Amino acid sequence: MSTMTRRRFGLLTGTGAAMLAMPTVLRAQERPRVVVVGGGAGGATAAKYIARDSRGAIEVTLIDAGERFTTCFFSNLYLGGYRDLNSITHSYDDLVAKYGITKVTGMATAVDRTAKTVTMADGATIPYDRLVLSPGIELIWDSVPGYSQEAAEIAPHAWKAGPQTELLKKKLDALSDGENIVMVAPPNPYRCPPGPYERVSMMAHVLKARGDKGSKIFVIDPKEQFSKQALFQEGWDRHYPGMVEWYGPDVHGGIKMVDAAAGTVETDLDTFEGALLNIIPAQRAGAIAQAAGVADEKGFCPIDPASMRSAMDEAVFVIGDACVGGDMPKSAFSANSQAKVAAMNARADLTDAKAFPARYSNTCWSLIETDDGVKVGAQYAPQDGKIASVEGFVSQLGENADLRKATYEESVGWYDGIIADMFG
Amino acid sequence: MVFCNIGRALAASFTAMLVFTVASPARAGDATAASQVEEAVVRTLLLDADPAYGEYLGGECVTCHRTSGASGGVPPIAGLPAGYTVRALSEYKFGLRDNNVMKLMATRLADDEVAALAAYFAQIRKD
Repeated sequence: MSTMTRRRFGLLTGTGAAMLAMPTVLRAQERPRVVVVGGGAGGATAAKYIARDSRGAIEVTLIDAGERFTTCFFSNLYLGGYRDLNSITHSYDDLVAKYGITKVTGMATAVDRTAKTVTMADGATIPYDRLVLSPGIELIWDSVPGYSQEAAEIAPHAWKAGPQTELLKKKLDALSDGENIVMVAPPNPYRCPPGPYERVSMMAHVLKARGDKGSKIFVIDPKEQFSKQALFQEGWDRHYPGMVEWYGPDVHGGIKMVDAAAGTVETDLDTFEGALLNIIPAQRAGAIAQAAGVADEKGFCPIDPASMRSAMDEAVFVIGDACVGGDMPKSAFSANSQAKVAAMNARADLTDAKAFPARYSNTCWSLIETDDGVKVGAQYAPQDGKIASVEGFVSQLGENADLRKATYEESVGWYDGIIADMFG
Repeated sequence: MVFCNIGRALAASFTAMLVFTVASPARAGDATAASQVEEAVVRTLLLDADPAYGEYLGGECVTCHRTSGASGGVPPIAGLPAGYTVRALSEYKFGLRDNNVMKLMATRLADDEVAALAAYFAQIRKD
C-alpha cells in the first residue's frame, strides 16, 4: 500500500501551483484523519497504534458511548468474586494525554461512505479519510422466543459488560440454597466462545463457596458442542459434582419460549424453572456496522484477511467481534491482534509507513475453579480468502494442579498486558 | 594418512553417538535440541537485525508482556539483552522450554524474525 500512497502523493504534489493559490486555512489542514468507532479491545488498540506510530502525522478520533470502558473479558471473574468491577473498568485518559487522540463520547449512528463522514446521535458529523469500525456485537433479541430488551432487566444477558453484569451478580448473590439457575447459551457465531461455560463455572463456584447443596445450573444450548467442552465438563464433575446439567439440542429438542417474569425456559423436552435466568441471545455486528452497510446477510462484516479492510469499502476497516474473522474466535485477544493489522494498513494508506504481511494470534483463558485455569490458542494467517488457523493448542485433560495454577496466573498477566496495550 | 585418521576419529565418534542415542533416547533428544538451540543462537546473532520489523512483530508479544517491564503471571521481556531473547525463543522453538503459548509463537518465527524481535526488545526503555 505504501507504493500506492507515494503514487497518490506524487499526483497531489503535481497540483502544487493550484494549492498555493488556496487560502492559508485550507492549506494548513490537514493531517489525514482516522476515525475509530468503538473503544474496546479492537478500537482502543487501533486508535492507540495509529496515533502512536504515526507520531502525530495522523489525526485520530475515537468514538465510544462510554466515558470509561468495562471489559467483557474477566467479567466472569467479577461474577465469581475474584475481581471487583473497578478492576475491570478503564479510562481513556492516557490515550488522550499520551497520544493526542480525540475522544468523543457519544453514539455514532450513521456512516456516509460517499462523503466519508460519521454521524453522531446529536447530529454532529465527523469526517474521515480512513474509518475503523470496532463496534462489537448487537444482540438479536427475538432469536430467543419471548426474550426482549425489557425482559433483560429481569433475566440479564450480561453479554455486554456494565450494568447487565452487575444485575446478574446481584441476582446470583441473592439466590437461596435450592433455587436454580437456567442459562440459555447462544448459537454460533458469538462473542467469546468459552464465555458461557466459564460463566457457568463461576456461578457454580459462588454456590459451592457459600455451601449451597440444593441449587442446580441448567444450561440449555442450541449448539451440539462447545469450546473446551471436555475440559469444562471434566472440571464441573471434579469441582461441582451434580450441580451442572448441560442439555444440547438433541436432548432438549429446541427452545420454545422464555418467560422472564415467571422464570421459565420451555423446551420440547421440559420446562426448566430458575430463580435466575441468564439468557444469551444470538448476535450480529454492532448497529453502526449494519448502518454503514458493511455487514453481510448474516449480520457480520466480511473483510480482506490480509489487511482487515472491509470487503465492501477500501476506506473502512472492520475489526473484532463485528468482522467475519474466519477461523479466529470472537475474543478480545483476536480484536487486539486484528487492530494491529488494521492500524498498520491505515498508516500505510495515509503516510509513507510500511505495511508488513499480516499475522494474527489468539489465546483464550478460562477459569473453572480457583487456580484451575485452562487455555486454547492458535496462530493465524491470511489463506484462501480468510483468516485461517495455522497451528494451535489446547490444555489437556487431567493436567496437574501446578500447571493449572500457572495457566490462571498467566491469564491474570495477560489481562494486565492487554489493558496496558489498549489503554496505556 | 592424516585424512584417514580424521576419518577414523569421526567414524568412531559417530559410532559412539549412535550407541548413546540407542541407549537413552530421551537424553539424546535433549542433546539434539540443545545443539539445535546453540546453532540457532549463533546463526541468529550473526544476522543483521531490523528493530523496526521487530516492533511490528512485537505487537504479538505486547498483548501479554508489558512494555513497561512490569511482570506478574507473564515474565517481563522489555530491555532484555538480545542474546538472552534469542536463546529463550530458540529454547521454546526446540522444546527446551515448556509453555504452549510461547512454543506456538516461537515455532512460527524464522531466524530473521527472532533477530528482529530481540533487537527491538533490547532497545526499548522500561518506562
